[in-house]
Amino acid sequence: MKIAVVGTSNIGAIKYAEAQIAVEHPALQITCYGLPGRGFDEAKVNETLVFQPNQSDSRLCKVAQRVNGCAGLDLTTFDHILVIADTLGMPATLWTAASYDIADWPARTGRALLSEPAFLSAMHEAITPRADHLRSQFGDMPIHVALAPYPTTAVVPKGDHHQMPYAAMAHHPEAARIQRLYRAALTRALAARNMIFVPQPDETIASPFLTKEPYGHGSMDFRAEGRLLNDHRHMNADFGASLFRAFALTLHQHDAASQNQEG
Amino acid sequence: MSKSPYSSLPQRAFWRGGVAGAPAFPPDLYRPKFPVTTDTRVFTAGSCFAQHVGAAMKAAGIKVIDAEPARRGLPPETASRFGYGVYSARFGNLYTVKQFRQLVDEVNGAQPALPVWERDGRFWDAQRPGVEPEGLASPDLVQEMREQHLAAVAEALSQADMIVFTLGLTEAWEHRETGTVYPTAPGTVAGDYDPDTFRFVNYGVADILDDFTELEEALSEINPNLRWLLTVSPVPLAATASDQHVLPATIRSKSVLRTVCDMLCDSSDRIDYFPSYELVTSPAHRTSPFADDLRSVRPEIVAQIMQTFLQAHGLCDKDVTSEERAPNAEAADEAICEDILLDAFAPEARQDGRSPEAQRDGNSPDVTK
Repeated sequence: MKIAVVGTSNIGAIKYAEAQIAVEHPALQITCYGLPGRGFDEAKVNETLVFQPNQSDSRLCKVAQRVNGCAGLDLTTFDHILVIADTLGMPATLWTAASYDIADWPARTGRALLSEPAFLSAMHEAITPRADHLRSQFGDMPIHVALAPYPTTAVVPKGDHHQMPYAAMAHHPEAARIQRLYRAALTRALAARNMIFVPQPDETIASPFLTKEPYGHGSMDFRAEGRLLNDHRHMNADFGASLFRAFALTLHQHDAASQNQEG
Repeated sequence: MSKSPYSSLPQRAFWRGGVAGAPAFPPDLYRPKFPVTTDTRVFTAGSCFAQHVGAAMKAAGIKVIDAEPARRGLPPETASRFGYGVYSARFGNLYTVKQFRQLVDEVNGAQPALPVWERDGRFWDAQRPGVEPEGLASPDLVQEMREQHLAAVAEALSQADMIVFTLGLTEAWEHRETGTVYPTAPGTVAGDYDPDTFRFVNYGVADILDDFTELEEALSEINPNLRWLLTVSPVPLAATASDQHVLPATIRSKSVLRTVCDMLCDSSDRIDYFPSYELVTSPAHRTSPFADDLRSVRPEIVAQIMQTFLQAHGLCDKDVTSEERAPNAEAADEAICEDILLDAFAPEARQDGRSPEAQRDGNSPDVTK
């Protein structure tokens, strides 16, 4: 079964886990196609369903050719497509959660109160345009979607690597609830657009919205093997293997559900 | 030619040349009593038309107070739908002077009657039902959020140099026993209409002047140096409970409010009136200033009105055409008015087989014009 893994620099984790994936999933043959974040955002399938960068950006086209070995990827030749996309409204959701106390929940920190309906509406409004955009990039093709990984716990302490709003979630009393609500909203929004959400595997998560720090060690630039990143946002091959296992499991569950429906 | 008291008057004093044959937005229509500058701290409140006034002032760089701002992460559509950034605090539309007076009384410690209304197991703040369109989970939450809101209102009022207030309605619903007034009729957004509990009122000039006097007294405890800029909403009534036809009921209402503004303006150097109502209802418009519903003011008209105001205060550099203003004007068309919900109770709406409640639930976009 042929699998296309398409996305931003975050595909690096899977790209450098290809050997491990081949061992674990011998029936799945993967092809990775990545573009830098902004370039990916402007990329889309053409009329023959070849996923390619903005053709007016000659520099990006050259990058695509050099990194991927092809200018674009013909998605019709694959059985399934896994897209590792952007953060899909997550930062805005977390900023909202960090800015207010949600009135319906028990915790009070002295922040302004926001009703849960307003919070859910904000989350929906943050997710919707990103989900619409992602859908438009891939035409009508069914795709599986994974979020860009949560940053590692290295972003929590004050200092050079500190990164809000993720750091705020480390001590947020309702972080687990927020993650549950966000994942549910994202799953619904993607499903409504014929996309299947692949959540970040629990084994990689230190606490809601934060990845275990070791998964950031040895992360490499998807454009050049051997160039270490270690930037707390990109993950290593162990993470890639774990995410791919989650994808394969989702694939299996989805196929089983489809067969049951047909039966 | 013999001398007459009119012979030395300028053209603006004559209909011919002042209206007939003049632009629909004459630049010399409005002469401010006191300046509004970008340093003026403005508190905005009133009926839904006041939302346009506040938005235009913000766009012009005037310091419009926002004591309950949309904080980082809260996206614009949700913020607006839940009453963030619409007025100087999340009090929703204050359609009547009495409602404003009651809000300030509450800031000073008074308690309105029946503060929480229920529908289908959800609970609404009866004094601002529009800011939580889906209601809240419990009466306690309504109360907790109201206490935080009242603190924000007090803070906003204490900071203000000027209140911009658009008078919208004379018709309202009161609690019989206490006189507490509500922004919507019970049973429209939430609650139930019980004629033994609630009564219809249609305020007259004297009532509103009394309310304004009491409002000023209540405000003096918070901020004694406030100036006022009054306007009258040109938006007609969505419905009347006065037993009149809605057209004369609208004219009666607007006439009373317009008279009140004139009397208040004449009574104090601290109170000014901006004739936005006249700019909409002027016969100088070649096409109707109203949208197809004959209630909503077309966005380009709103933009020109606010342009007239800003020009009078020297707050815009050039004469901007309606076309140049169009994008902002479109945004300004999103005013939130609970009174349009009364449309769901109109006979033709009842005849289409759905209950007012069902129409209300299924027509939430209609809340925004």
